[in-house]
Amino acid sequence: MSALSSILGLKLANQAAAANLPSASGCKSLVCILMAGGNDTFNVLMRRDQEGYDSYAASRTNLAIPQSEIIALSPDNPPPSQVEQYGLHPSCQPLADMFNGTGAFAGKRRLSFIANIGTLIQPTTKSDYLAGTTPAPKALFSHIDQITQWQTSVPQGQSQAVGWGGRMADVLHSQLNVNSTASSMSISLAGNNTFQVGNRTAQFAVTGNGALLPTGDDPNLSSPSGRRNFAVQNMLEGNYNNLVQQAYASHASDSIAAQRAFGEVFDQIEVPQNLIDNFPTRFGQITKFGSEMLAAARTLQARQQFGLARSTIFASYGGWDHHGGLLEPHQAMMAELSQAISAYQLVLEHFGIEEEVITYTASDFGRTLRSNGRGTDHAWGGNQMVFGGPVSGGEIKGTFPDLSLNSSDDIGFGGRILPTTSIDEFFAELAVWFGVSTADMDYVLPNLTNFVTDIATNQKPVGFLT
Amino acid sequence: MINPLLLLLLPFLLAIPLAAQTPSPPFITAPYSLDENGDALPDLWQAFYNLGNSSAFEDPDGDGVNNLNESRAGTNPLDPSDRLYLKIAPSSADRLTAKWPKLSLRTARLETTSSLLPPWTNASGTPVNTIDENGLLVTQAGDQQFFRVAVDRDDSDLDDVPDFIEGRLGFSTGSGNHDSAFSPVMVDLDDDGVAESPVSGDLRAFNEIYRPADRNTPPTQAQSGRFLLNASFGAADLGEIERVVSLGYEGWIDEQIALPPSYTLPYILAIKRDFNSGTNSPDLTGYNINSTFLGGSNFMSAWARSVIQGEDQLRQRVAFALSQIIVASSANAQTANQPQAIATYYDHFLRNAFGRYEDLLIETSLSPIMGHWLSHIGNRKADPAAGRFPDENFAREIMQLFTIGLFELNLDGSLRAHPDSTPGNFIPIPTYGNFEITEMARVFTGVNYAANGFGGGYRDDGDRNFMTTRMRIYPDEHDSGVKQIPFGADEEGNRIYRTSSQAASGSAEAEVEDVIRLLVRHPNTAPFVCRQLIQFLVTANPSPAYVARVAAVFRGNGTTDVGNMEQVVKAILLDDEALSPMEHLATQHFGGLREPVIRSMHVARIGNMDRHQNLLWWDWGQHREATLQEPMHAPSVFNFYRPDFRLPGEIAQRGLDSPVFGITNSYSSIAVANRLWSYIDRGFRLGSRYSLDTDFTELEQLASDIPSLLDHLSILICGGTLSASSRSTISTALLATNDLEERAKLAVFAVIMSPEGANKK
Repeated sequence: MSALSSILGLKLANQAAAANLPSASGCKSLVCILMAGGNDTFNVLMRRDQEGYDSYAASRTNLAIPQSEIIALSPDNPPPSQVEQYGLHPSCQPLADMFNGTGAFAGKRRLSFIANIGTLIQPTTKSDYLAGTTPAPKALFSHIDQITQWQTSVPQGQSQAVGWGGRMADVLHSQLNVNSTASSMSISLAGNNTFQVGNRTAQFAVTGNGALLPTGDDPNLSSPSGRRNFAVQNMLEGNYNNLVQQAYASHASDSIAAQRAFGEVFDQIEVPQNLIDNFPTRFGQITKFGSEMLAAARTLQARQQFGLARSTIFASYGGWDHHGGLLEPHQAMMAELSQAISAYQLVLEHFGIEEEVITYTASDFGRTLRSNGRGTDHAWGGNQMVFGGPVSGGEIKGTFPDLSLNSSDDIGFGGRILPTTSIDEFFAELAVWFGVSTADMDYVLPNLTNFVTDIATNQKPVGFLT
Repeated sequence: MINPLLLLLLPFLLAIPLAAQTPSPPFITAPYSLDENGDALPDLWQAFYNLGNSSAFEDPDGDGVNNLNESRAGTNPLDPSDRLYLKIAPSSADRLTAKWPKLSLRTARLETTSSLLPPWTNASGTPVNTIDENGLLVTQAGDQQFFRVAVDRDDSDLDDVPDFIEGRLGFSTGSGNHDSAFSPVMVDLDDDGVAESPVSGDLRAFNEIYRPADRNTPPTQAQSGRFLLNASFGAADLGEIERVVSLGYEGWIDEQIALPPSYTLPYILAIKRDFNSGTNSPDLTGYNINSTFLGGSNFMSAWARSVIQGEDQLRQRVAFALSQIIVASSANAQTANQPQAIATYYDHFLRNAFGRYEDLLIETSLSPIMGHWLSHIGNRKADPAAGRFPDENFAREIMQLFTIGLFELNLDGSLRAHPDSTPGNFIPIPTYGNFEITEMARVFTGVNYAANGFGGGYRDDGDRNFMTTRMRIYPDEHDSGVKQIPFGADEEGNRIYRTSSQAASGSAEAEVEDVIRLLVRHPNTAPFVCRQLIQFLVTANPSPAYVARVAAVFRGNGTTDVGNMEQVVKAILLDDEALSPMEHLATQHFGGLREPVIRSMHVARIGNMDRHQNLLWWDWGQHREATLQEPMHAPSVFNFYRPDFRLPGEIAQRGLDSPVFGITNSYSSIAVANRLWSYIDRGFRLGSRYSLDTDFTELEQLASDIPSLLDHLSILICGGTLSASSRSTISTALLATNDLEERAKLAVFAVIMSPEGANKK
């Protein structure tokens, strides 16, 4: 096995899946952007028609975006003649262009929204929830739980330590990445996460600058850092009687080899300066999240050289927990997010791989509609984005909720919106596209049958793919 | 280039005394003859094959060669193909062929005699060797001839440690100056009270590391260094090592327990006063993250001050372990940026490190930090009409993680089998189910801030101390009824209950305390908590017997003194399994990867960071990002890693636990190294906000004598076990520079990154 294989040690055939081979067409990648902390997405996607805006503004009071500042979205579906008109947060012009097919995305509608999506175990109405007649996700409104559940898609709160992306890798990697030199298809640009870890799948974490290598020169005896790396890396190559020492040494030396192997390919992927200039900067440097998205694009271009017909990529942007003040930080963060996403998509288009990549956003939860005076608190459903060539862009999918306080979508306590689309339905549509077979769907998304009785005949439960 | 031979002639900067005041075991001059248990089998040979309880005449591999003879030949008693044999076959009328095995690093010779009496002499003939066999074509001499195979314990470097065991011990068969451990020291070999014989290299290293040790025997420096890897954040210098040598293990523990705790709260209060007054005291500067409030990261500085500057190392180490069992964290919107409350919470671990587990659990359970972390703050009794039931979060976790775990355990930590179990179908016995969770949730009702109860109010660690004062149990919102508390299972596997109620306890508050005490007395709690403490302090895979010995102490050994942490900590650290060097040798998986935070603190201690009175260690999560560990910032109640995490590969295949590998991946394994180097090279710094350097002057003075430098660091970081091969590699790098500062730093980095220094065993 190659160094990558041995560290990630994943070439294990899936017995259950072997009988029903999934579709192996093309090269496909799924990219998850986790907005950690709970993005207040009811201030990202808004209704701008008078009726919709009024109920929004009444609920949000001092946190409502002025109607005149909302950037118009002109969705294909529903048609512009329809009553509901949608718009975006004023700092999101790049996203509006991706949605509308304007500006840098002229003629290419790449982005759609999934309205009011969230964690659910089974279809749940407000009265179900209030009466407790259907099981609710464990520890709703809790960051750590909801952020995990968005990654596991198992909100029951069993100690589910593996993610749905990792479970996809469990069933797909050994079959579709047959010729891969990398034996993990889970590549994280944001350290460890749950999403990409499976029962038989580890993740490979790199940085926003590519491979992470020991500080300094390659091992040699003529420079201080070379001497340092000489001493350590030679020791790590040794054999040790004690099992723990041996495990440590093998793991560490394999990690260095794997990072090197990744870096050698990644570093060759060049992006034209004018496209790099699109990324958000702070103090003259591309921001941390911008770097992750640029690295994501370069990794996607590199994946074929690793023989990865399927891969997932994970990026993260934290700091959305806006209890103590929403408007200003949210404005700045949404501007950075929008700019980075748009710049990233443009790099994919430059590489010509936009038809092979779908990117989506996830976040712990939506936030309370009611202001706490400064910001908003933890709630449940929210609006998420999905974009890429395969996406039928310019659409609002799912059902946009009634944002009046105590509406039929509000479970109470300040405008906590009950999701009407489950993450399972959303993920299932992605999983089908990705090549997960019907037989494996239960392993990947164990709650799916609560929402979709037969995924084989209902392959697009949400309908955002063309 | 320094002439390596000359180095040996330099005065020994590393003064290593021969023994402590109390009698030490005699110096071992023939390691392979050591037989402490008098069973005629060499202790070392038994340790190599983990055959401590096997007798001389047993033959575990059934190859016809019993243990006694296998040990004499140094062959593997568990491998039937590795044995001494002699095959003789006639080759012609007056010639025969003798064949016997080639042994690694030993010479096996054919000897002959005509009378079965000595002398035996080397047989002569024509060699007919094959790859793995010796062969000799012998011409008959006389009427009768007897043959035997003799084995020489070759010792090419004449260090009295036979070649064939050197590798197993991490020693070298060569006599190079840089790769043989431990510079010479004078030893009293004839026991006349005068040290007259110089002993160096591997024989001395053998005595440093493997001299029999237990709680009653004065330890060597290497053994003390190893002990401090378990009992502290690592020895900062030889002075700390010498303290253990002179007091003995137990004496050192007693001294440590008597030291006043170095709490984390005083520093937070000091910077808070400073911040609020706008004084910007020069003694405290550098803590201020932003202009509106103190950040949560300030707790890192408070914690590092206690750990790096505190004399109470054992208390600090035990507290850090406990904080990873009873987990609350600042990784939560309600507990973030509350350094005063987090420090108050953490100080419960320091205060109760040698106190009673139940007191610790009561204080932590009723801390507002825990109240927010596991959401029992504000928990109200059920109102079925309104469809409202108590939050079950804390009720579940106090059972699952802080006391009894998921399944009924034996005293030794193994799972109890349900009587319906059959061979091949093991059925565990759950400790609780949904019913018991709902019952436990009823206990933790009426819990809220002491100051404002259910009246609302702004949570803050401000003047009203909402977040730092122990929560109260408000009778109006407390479910006063009778609850069923799980208390083990009977022989049939049926659950046993104790009941609890407000009336029986006398008050709502007393009921909550009584239920926590009951949980601590549940039969599971002793093995469940003790096994984890052993994992944190000594080894990731303690034997069941070790767990049982410690758990029995936790249970009070038949007294009512349950959960006495002073006794538990002593039982853990002074157990034979923790102290006996032969145990470590015999158990191939002994020990564990050292926690990243502990390694970071250890290099800071060696680098004399304690001299910075105004020590700062806060960052914006960079340590956490690199290492996946930061004190009081676990990502979930399941801590940074699980105690039963198994690294894929041989560790997992053998069913072994490797908790710290749970945060070791292809990213963090490199990021940890880079961060350790940054600490060693440049100390603690954060951009332009603060910069606190390391000081390795002491090591630089040693650095012209590379063997002494490595001896020194091997004692501090590896319990003396830095292997010959690692020493050789590091020496090569060190010899390539004459810059003594570079040498000192490089050596510290290389040793703490070496497999012997990154792990403890």
